[in-house]
Amino acid sequence: MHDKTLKDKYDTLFEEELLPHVSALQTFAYHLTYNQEDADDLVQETYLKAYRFIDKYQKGTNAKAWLFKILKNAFINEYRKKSKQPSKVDFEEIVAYHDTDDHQITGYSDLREEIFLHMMGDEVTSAINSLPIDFRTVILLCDIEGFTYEEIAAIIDVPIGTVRSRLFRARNLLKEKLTKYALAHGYTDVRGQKRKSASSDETRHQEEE
Amino acid sequence: MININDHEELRKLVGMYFDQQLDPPTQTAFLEKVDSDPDYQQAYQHELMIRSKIKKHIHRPVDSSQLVQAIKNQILKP
Repeated sequence: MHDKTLKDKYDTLFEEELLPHVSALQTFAYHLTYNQEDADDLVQETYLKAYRFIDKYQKGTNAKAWLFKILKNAFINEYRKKSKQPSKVDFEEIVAYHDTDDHQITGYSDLREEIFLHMMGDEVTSAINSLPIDFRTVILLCDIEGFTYEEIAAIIDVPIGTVRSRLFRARNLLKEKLTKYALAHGYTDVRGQKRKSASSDETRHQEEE
Repeated sequence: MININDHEELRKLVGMYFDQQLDPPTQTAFLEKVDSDPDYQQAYQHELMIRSKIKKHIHRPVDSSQLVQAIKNQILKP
């Protein structure tokens, strides 16, 4: 009788506080695994683990961050080993492990709205997926899911300074990739051209004089 | 109190606002400036628009209901 009451309590908690985050977890998992089927398996595994440890979860606390942490750990510990996707190691990924003093904050102020004009759907996803995993993770957690630096630090087990530094580098890389994509699809960056043109007019005028 | 003399600092401040890195009094002062200063308003709107576009263009599952049901079936057995 006691066990049934406890199970009912945990089931209600599970349905009310954990299940509403399935969609957000699917998006995160998709960008880690690169395909929907693997992403769904990872999400399902995350929920199995969460339910197994539901007695550790306190009602009304940050369920979303807790689930993201479980998913990230499941991905690193189990999924990544069996994944068909080879792990990508490149210069940026190595740099990411040597996060030092890049404590700058950067947003997207230098990105132009026009670069999105030629995008049909999955270009942003492709650009994010081409980032090294540590950079991809912070972009997804911060810019897509809206976690704070403190929450991200707890989810991925790194100091806040590392989150800030990775985000700084990740956004710069993402902006570069998105701009390259847009340039390849007909976008022209006209910034500075007026100034250049005005300056050459001035030179021409001086030469004529 | 926000005292911005430099465009670069404004960009940084906008980034910190959207990253939820401003303390409450600085955030309030920042939002007041956004309402009253066209430079702040422009920088704020631009950042908001770019972040929304990135969110909008991300791949998301079309329908999570099947997965929700599968999880329920697996976990919430009577």
